[in-house]
Amino acid sequence: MLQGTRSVRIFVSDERSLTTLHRDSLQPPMGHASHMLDIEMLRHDRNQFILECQRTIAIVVKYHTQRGMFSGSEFDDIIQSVNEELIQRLDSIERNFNGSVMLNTYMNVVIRNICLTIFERTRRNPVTEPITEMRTGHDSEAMAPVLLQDEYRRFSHTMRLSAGKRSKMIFCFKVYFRLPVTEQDVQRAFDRLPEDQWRPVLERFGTEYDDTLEADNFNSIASLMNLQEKNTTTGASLLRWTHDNLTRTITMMNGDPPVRSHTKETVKLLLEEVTP
Amino acid sequence: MSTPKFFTPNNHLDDNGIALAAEALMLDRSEALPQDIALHLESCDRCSQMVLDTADITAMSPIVKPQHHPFFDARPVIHRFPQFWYSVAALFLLTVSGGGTFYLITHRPMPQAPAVSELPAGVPDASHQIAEGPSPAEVPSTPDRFTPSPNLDDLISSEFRSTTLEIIAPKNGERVSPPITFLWKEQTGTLKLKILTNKEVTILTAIVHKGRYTTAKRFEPGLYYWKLESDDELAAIGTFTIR
Repeated sequence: MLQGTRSVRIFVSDERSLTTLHRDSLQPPMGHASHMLDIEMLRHDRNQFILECQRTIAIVVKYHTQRGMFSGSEFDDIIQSVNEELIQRLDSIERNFNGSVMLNTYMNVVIRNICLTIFERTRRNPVTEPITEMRTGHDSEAMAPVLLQDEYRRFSHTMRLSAGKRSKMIFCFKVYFRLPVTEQDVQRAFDRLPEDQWRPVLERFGTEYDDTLEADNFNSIASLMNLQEKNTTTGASLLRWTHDNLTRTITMMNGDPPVRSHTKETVKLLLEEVTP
Repeated sequence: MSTPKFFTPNNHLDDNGIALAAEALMLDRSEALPQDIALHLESCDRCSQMVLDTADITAMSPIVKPQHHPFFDARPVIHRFPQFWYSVAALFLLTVSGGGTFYLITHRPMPQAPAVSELPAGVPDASHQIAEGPSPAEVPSTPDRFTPSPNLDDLISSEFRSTTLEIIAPKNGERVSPPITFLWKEQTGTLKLKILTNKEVTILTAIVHKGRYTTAKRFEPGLYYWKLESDDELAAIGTFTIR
């Protein structure tokens, strides 16, 4: 949410005129839970389209500011830079948008790319101010659930992007961290096998198994995984596969440029809390 | 409506592809993503990062989920219409081709109405072969095709007062194979050459001169008669067989 009553100067329209918008004009009308950008507006009334984009721009810049790419004190300057760049790109937006997605989402992609361009242009490191300091009126304790919710969602999305191997990853991650697996985990991971074949796995890894050897665990999984995948992998290579995918998941979670600090431990915590 | 494109020339997702994958996550419809996008995201960190960021940002935006997504919900509709018409077109083509094939099988190529035209003697030319044929009922079976025609045989055995030509080839009853060259003692003037089946059906007519005519026409096995006419009067007649 935009703060205060300061004005945001933006260049609008083909006449290159300088327009000053008051923050109040950027707020959505009362009672409207959402606003939808319109491709016809982009085609016929670019001034209005830029005005309609202001809330999207503010959200995207806030997102990157929260993740330390920009300082909270330069929020307005970044908004200004994004607007300047966006006006330059209107023709290509109109040309390239193919109508298969919501224009709002498409503009989120475009404005995110602009933010990255601005970030890379300044060639700076992510700022290190605590992200909760930018949220005036909220203390860090109050923000914690919100931030956790964001991380849960990102973790869930990260796993779902690995659609073809998601079930295998979740199962192997849990065994790697020695977390108890659920019946659903096992059933999904070995969905081509009859229950009498995967049931022993559930009995072995469904409860505490801290005192077992990692190599033994993965050797026992590998034999069943070979039946599932009609493969001939070893426990060691399945462990390596698990480690590689865990590393990739952490990279995905942290972002590019890295603006989070996830590790194996945080992934373990997330696995305990959510079923991705 | 053409299929939308979601990849850049560098084989990464373009902005539409990134937005579509992000919406798939937000709407919990990852399984509806086109397979090429899903496979790409399993291996491309860069595009996956962009999709995740976009999904995060979209989650912060107060946007109402559409009742009908322009891609996920429209896709079956997009394809149903062409598929229907493709089916109709395929059915039509099958009917036409099947019917055509059936017709061709049941109506073997038959000689048609004579179309007399000039042909330089000695030039093999199937284009002068005339399509004047018998009805299907008149097409003889293979043994019947060798049965002599009494009427035409009578003509051969008769002495023609008007006969002025001497046939050189093919000799009467000679077994020949295409291309067939007809030779007769040269005479001035233009003649009409006709080839008939043993059922007296004319299957070829040609204007000939200089005592020679060659045809590349392929004949069914059988007994054939050939005549040379001058001013519609019989000048010569002979036979040949094709095995």
